[in-house]
Formats: sequence, structure tokens, C-alpha cells
Amino acid sequence: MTIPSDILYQCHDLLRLPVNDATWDMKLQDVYSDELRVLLQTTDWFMETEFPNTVANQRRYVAQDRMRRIVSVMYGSKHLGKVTGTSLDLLRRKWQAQGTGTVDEPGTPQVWWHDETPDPTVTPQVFFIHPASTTSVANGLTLYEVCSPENEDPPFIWVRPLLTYLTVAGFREGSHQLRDMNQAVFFRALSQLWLDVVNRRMPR
Amino acid sequence: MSTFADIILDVQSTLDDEGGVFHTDANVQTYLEHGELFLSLSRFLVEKTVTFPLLANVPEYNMLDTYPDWCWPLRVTIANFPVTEIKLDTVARVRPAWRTQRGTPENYIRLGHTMLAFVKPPSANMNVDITYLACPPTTLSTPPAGVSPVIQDMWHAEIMAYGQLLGTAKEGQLARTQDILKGIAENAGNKRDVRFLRDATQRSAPSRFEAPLTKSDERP
Repeated sequence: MTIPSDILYQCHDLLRLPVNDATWDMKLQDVYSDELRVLLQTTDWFMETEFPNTVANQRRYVAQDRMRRIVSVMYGSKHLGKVTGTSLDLLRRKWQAQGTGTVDEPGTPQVWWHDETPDPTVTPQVFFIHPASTTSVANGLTLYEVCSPENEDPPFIWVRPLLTYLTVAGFREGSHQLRDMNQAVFFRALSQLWLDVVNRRMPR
Repeated sequence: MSTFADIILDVQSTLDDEGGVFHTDANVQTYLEHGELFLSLSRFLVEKTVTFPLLANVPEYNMLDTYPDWCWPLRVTIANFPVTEIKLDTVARVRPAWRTQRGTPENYIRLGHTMLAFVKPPSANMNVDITYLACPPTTLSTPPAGVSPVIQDMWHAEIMAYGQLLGTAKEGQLARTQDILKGIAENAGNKRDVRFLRDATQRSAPSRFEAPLTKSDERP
């Protein structure tokens, strides 16, 4: 994971750090990675589509690693309803006993969920559809999902200054001899101004 | 009209560094690029209109793949007819099988700031005209050939203030930055002229950046 060179250069400048100081560069890199991850997890700015295959009689699927939040699931180009495990209990009491007889036969998927499920192997990337599909279809599911970028390079040009300020603020908040809370507060305020402007001006 | 070089000199002069020893030209230029980008986001400084090819039966498109300076769409038309925005949750609720109903797109869905999905999905290859908010050319790593950034006088002061803000923060004079930051925030929060917005007459309540209606504003 590497901080983009232009952002590293700007951080050096604003922090008045010596260039090519491996220790501080490593610290900056850590802060940058954290800030990028937090920013893209707390916003819905970066979205992608994913097309998993459906497998006959399978209700458990795993989205790609970079997926942070599923916005919508479609089966055969039709949106599935979003439920939780608890509401599914109310909708169809025997859903969990799928495959043990006639209690919950596969069919055309109607709903999806990924929370409140009594499955110890569930990770944030896991989601379920119900009923399970009767057939295997290549690219049978379409996911709209909020993702992290493929590498550390931010996907938008306009977010680069914001990430620079967040990195500078995060660095100044660190527990080391260059800690400076006054400057950290200033750069957090500047970052917040950018976020305010973007959130206010972008169409809703 | 001023060029970046003019404003760089102005910023260095304001920071008492005429020779550009502490605040080098390259660094100040970066500050000004940030300022121009900030101004562009808050005032919609740079708009671009492009003709984008839609492929038959493909509803979703990642706009960043084609336009690296993409911020978000402002207006979309096909054959001079507007394609209006619609929310994903509305489409999912009202027309859950919209991806199978192909034809000429009537709406588009914004998926984050990266993607557009067209409802209906195009039944054949066709072009769509998109006006979008773009990043200023100075912020691109490879600006278009022949583009020489010139800042209109009306934006000169605000971009210069932004350069001064970062320069002062770098110097550690944080007491001075407060006033500059406050000024920039106030300018960025100027209320927009909403008279020609589609929903101007349907607003239920003014936002916190608009003055509430007074008695004299109401119709008799």
C-alpha cells in the first residue's frame, strides 16, 4: 500500500518534513491508508457493480473483498427486497431448514439479507438470497455496492486535496514528537469545509 | 485576467516571501490548484458537455473510466430531450424489473460519484449528451493540449486567499488562518440563485444556507 507521490509531497510541504525520511514516510502512509478507508466507508461516493454467478440450491454468496456495503441485489435483472434474518423468520418460519425436505424449496429468489443471521461464518462480504435459485446462471446476480478502490490511489481527482488535509491532520494527532493538536484541528476544520461543500453542492 | 504565475507572486508577496524561498513557486501553485478545485466544487466553475456512447442492453457505466475529471452530472439529454434523474430506491420500488425493459432511456440513476445507470437500458447503441461538473484542467496530471489556465478577475481574490491560507498554516501562524478560513467558508456558503431550479417552487423548507421567507416575501 503506497501513498501517491503527489499527496506525499504535499504532506511533506505542509508538515515541513524532510523529504525521504523513511520513518515519517511510513507513518504518513499508515495515516493516509486509514483516512482513505474511513472516507470511502463513511460515504457512498465510490460504487461499482459486480455480477456473481448463481448456483443451484445455494443461498449463501460472497461479494468481492473490496465491497464495503451492498446497496442493491438483483436476480435476473429484478431487484430483490432487503430483509433481515429476523424479519425472514416472520415471513417464512422454516427458511433456515432449507434442503431438509419440503420445508423450504428453492425457487425464484425474492429477498436478500446479510444481517441477523445465526451463521458463525458470516463476514461483511457474505450475503444470502431466499429462496435459493433453482438453476445455476452465469452472472445471474447483479450487485450495486460501495467499494474501496483497487489500490491506494483515490479514484476521484477532487478528493485528493481532501485526503491530503486528512492525512496531515491525522499525522499531527499522532503520538510522537511532531504532534501538534492546533495544526491538527485546523486541518480537520479545512477537511470538514471541503466535505460540507461537496455534500451541499452534489445533487441528492 | 490573471495567470497562475501572477497569483503565485501575489501570494508570496502577502506571505512576505517575494523570492519564493520558503514558499516555492511549485508549492504555491499546488495551493492555488487546491483553491481552484475548491472554488469549482462550490461554485460549479468548470462544466463540460460531452457526447457519451451508450451500448445496447448495457444499463450501467463507470464515468471515471472515460472522464477522469468527472465530478457529477448536471444535465443529460438524448436527441435534445432531457433525461431526468431518478433515485435507485424509487426505481427499485416502482419498477423492480427496469433492467429488462429496454428502449430509449428516460431517466438516469447516480450510483455514488462513479457510475450512471440508465432507465430504460438502451435497446440499441445510441449517444447521450452529458453536461457534468468537471475538475479544473490545472488539477489534471495531463491537462488537455493548449490549455493555459487563466483565472478570471472575479475569482482572483478567493483563489489567492486559499493560497494564503495554506501558506499561513504551513508557517504555523494558526491564529491568522482562522480569519482567512472563516472568510473562505462564508464565501463558499453563499446561497445559490435558485429561481430557475426545477423544484424551486416545491420546496417545503429553506435550507440552512438560505434566508427564511419573511412577511414581505409572501404573496399578498
